[in-house]
Amino acid sequence: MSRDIVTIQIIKNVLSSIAKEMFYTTIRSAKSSIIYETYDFSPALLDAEGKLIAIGTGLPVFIDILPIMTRNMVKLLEEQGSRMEPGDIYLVNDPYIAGTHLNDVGLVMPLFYKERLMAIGAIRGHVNDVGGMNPGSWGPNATEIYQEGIIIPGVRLYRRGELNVDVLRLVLRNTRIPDYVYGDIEALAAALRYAQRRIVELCDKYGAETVREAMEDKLNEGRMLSRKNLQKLPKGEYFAEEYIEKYEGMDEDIRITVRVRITEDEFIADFTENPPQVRAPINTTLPGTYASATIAFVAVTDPHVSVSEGYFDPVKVIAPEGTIFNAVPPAATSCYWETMFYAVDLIWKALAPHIPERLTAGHFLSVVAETLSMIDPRDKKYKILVEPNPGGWGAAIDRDGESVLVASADGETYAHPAEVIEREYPIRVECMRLNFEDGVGHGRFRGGFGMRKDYRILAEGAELVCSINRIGYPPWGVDGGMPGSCNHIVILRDDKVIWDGGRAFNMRLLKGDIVSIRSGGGGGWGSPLERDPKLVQWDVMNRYITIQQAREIYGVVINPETLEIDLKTTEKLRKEMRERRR
Amino acid sequence: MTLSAGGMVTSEYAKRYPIFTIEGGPISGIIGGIRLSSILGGKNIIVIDGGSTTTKAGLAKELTPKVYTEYWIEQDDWNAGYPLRVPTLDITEIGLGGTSLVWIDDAGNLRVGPQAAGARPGPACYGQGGDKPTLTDAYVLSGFLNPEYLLGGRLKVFKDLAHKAMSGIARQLNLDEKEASYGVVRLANDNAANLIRQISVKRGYDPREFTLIAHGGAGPMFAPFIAEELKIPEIVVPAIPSGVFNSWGMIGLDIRHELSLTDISSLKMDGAYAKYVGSRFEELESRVREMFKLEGVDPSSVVTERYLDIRYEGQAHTLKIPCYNGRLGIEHLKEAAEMFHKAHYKEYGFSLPESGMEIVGFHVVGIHKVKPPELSRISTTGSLNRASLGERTLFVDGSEFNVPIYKKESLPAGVVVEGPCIIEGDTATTVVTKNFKARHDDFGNIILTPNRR
Repeated sequence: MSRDIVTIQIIKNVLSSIAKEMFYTTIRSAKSSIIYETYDFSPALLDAEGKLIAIGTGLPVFIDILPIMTRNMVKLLEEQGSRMEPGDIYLVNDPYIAGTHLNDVGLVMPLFYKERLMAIGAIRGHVNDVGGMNPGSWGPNATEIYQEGIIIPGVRLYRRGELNVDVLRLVLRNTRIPDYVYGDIEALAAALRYAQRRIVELCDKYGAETVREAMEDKLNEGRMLSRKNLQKLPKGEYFAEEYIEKYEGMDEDIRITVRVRITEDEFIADFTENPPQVRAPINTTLPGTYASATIAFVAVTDPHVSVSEGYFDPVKVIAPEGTIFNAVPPAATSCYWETMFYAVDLIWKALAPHIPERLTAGHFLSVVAETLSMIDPRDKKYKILVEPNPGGWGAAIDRDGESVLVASADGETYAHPAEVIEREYPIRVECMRLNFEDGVGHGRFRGGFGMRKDYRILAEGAELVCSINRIGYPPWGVDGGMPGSCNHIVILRDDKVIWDGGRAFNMRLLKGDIVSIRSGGGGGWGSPLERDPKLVQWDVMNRYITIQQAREIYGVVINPETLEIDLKTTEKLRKEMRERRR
Repeated sequence: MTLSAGGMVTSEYAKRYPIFTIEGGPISGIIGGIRLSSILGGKNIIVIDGGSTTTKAGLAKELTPKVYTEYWIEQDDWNAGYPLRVPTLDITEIGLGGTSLVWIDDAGNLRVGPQAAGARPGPACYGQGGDKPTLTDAYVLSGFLNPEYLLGGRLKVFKDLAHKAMSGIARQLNLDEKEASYGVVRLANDNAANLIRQISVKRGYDPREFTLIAHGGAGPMFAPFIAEELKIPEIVVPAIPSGVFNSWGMIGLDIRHELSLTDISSLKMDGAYAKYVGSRFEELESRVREMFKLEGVDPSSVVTERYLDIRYEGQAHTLKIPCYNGRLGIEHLKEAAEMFHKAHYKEYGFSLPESGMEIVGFHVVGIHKVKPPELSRISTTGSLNRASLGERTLFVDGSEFNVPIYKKESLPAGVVVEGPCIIEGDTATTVVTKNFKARHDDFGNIILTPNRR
């Protein structure tokens, strides 16, 4: 019997490594830094029915969106009487089919072995511009999706291996940067062709039926593991609420909520009590909300698990149609992450006090993305820089939060190195460091620091677009831990602050201006008065906090000359402060 | 000291620029493979070094290894790692070796590595106090390794301890110890084959055109299975004892200095640009000659090679393209551009002939040839009978059968043995599967080729 167990396992290993190699194939050939530096893309291998078998690393956002995107698209094709053929590669970015926003271009390829559909390769990546009213195709000003770029509902880019030039021309005519978009789409397609070759090799060697069995085994393994892990979670209903800062034309901030119900066999995220979709680009479609729930589910169960669709079996999402978490056309979605990431954060917030060994306090949450577009005086080329930025994470029950890490749903994306920015764009990076000024949420364990990055603009007529959140409501603390700090972007002209905010479009910059991106610090865990004075002293020595903050927030008295802790006075002061707070 | 890009420098130089020596050890193994292959008249080689905790592999087509400038250390699924922009021979490695631990994951899958028992406590069967099963224990239990001793008798093997260590795993899988062990061996072989696939197929090389040079304790154990999987037509197990093969590679490495210069410009097909490219190379060449002078090497004995790092506009990753070594004209730039399109197609399955190209860097390599050590010939006397150590029972694919065992050191030169058999040496065991035959050549290398019966 050993042969069968081991053969199935070897095939499962190969399937996982195919997905990983798809990932590297794309990185090495992509044209835009958002793919090759930031990794704002993910490939996946699905079974013939579109169920997730293996993922390459990349964006958790996409993990469960890839199979949903594929299944929705295939269903639409079937309704039109069309079916996938060997060598076809489909192009799709319609958020109402595929979730997220129009920038995320999806490619789907049926993987055949001798006329038998064995698997489906799917990949999704952010291209820097798909047309629309803003350079970079997203911004805070859109009120319906038609303003956000070209909508591609799942069409053949390749038909039986032949490039469909008409489709390509149509797509490229609708972007500000056709060269880059073409190169990136080809880099995504290269990953799918790689998968096709490997699936054929695999079936040649082990036989198609055995390969199919291995896929089934991978799904079952996921089901078994998630059931096992679900047992360990505390059963019950948990509630959380948050606010998203209002957009132009709104009277008040948007209240959002979740009820998480954990039962013996289900993990339900109920988004029933939420407002209708809004005339702003922050609506998310159902695939995104579902992906949020799966991200949170993986985080609370086992972040290291090798996921397959089976692992998500217990996850259920309830979100009424027409609400901000399940928008219907023509709602704008280009900044979908503002709600989608909140959906993760809400579930996280509801569960953190109950699953402290897995979850941290609130983090900076936003993508804190900016778009800077300009004509590069060095080569006269029109360029668009789009980048998600890292920030501070919340404290855990037993340690300080991580500093300068990308937001939860951004997962394995990387920040752009200064060298790449300066090489590719007319920008000088004058500062890239921890954001001490805005601080963190203090506590027995404190939040991690956000990032401060100053870009000196070296071109005329540059334009800034940004749409960030947590600009008024800071990351939450747990168990007496203090809230963290907010995200914002500052524009400095001649060393003076001329703008400080989170949402901008058509914002014209002058050559020499500084765009200073400042992400927030994470929330704290437990009362600051319980923090080990030695850790407070360490923070002072590192200049993370001032001596005054040590005294006023932590009740720790530190000698400004020697930086020694005055233990006696500290004890006394902490006692007084505790009584005062009671 | 060995450089990451192959070649040798004085310790004084290495002290000043230690970064250029990273991964020097395993890289010596590739160089050793190239040396051995040039003696044997080989052409394309893949070198696999199966150690006790990791297995490393490298490739050299036309005996010329590829130099990359995008090497990452400590990067895996859970660690971001660090990029090192220094010229490094392309090697890959996995956490798999003789002391890799056998375990069962949460989903009930049998696994081997990347955790390892290391030298201490080592495999359970070494009797040094290790109680966790390792790949070596699996080899002993399935009959691939001698169940009584290793290292020509200097290391005693306790099969009963291996059996005991494997019993927990076997019970969980509902198998007996032999079946579980053979499963472990298959998984290890598959992981090793995957490593070779990464360094060959994934980079656009066809393994069927290569010879596999297998050294290290585990290398010759994996080799025939890798060769079957990837249809590699020839395996060489070097006569130089495993363990010192890397050092042998180091001795007599050519003295090598290289310089690269980052200078980004759009590739233009005109005379002025060709002249500019030429001048950048000449600049580097004169500096490279200076470096040789400092080490007391006559610069006139130095041969230089030129490479261009080229990419399509906007890309981050470059491909290294050799460039004509002389007065540059437009035709040489055209030639380089043509080679780039082809290399890009080979690497990624597409090229963008309409897209602009950029030269990102210039790379000059200077080589001063050093006379390598020679291999001595072994005795032709003796016979197969005298080398016979009897038979052992192997457990493969659910059934048991007996295979002959030979002592490597007693095999005369020129003898050919048919698989299946096992050749035990003082420092390594070579498995000859039923699909191969093994020839003991004049230098004492074991050469495996398919057994067409």
